Amino acid sequence: MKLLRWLWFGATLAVLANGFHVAMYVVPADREQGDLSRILYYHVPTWCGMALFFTINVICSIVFLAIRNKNPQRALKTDALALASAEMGVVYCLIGMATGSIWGRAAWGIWWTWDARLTTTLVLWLIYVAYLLVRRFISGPEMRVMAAVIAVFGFADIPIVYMSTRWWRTQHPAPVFFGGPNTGLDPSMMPALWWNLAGWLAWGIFVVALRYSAERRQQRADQHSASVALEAA
Amino acid sequence: MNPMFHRHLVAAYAVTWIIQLSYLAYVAWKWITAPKVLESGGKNQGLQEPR
Repeated sequence: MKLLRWLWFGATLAVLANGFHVAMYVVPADREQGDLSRILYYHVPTWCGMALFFTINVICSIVFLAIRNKNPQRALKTDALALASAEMGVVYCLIGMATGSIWGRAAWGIWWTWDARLTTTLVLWLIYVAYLLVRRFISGPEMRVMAAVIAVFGFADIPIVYMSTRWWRTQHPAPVFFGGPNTGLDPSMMPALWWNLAGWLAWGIFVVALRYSAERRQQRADQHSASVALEAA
Repeated sequence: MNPMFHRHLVAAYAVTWIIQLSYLAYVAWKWITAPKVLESGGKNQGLQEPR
């Protein structure tokens, strides 16, 4: 298992290194934006990662709520995965806003604007930060239930974020992918996107696996301490 | 021009790596310091000091 983990990490770094090389030196620059458009090759995989890990979080939260009484041990495992994926999703969301903001500064001349896409994304990030704060500062057996409920409601913002550039007129660029006719990247630019998408998703899976492992250790230690205290009483 | 000299591009890539590596460091610290319970069963079952 340890060997597989380090092989995965090594392969991820190799894919990311190649992704960086392809994005910087192999694919052509955009005709209008020039080299600035290369931010897209980090920006888009970041949003894909965020969507993937928040989806894992909501699935685990629903499973936790469904089985917490019938199978508490398995419910604890899903809860650990929910926590790990939520943290990773928050990190990806933060990076997405940061890289988008840097692009906005160069393209629009401003770091931030309160348009629908940016605002709904900020709300999404704050919802999941609140989820993590609940887990951090509320104690007792109901903490996990409360966090799972927040996760289910918080996930409802993701379709709104995705559809915001379609429903409302925004300063954010129109959808590049699945935006209808005459949208999408030129095929010559796609390799940079694929390499970085694969690399950053593999990175996220590695980090989530490590975080899950740490959380499971903590859960087992807490259970052990509780059983020792019960025996002593 | 070499894209490595485009300051906004370099800033975006650098911010991505700084945030990801910072979070990886936090996760690694959690993993290293998490207490380990032996799962061998029997008399050896118990709590180990964090590595």
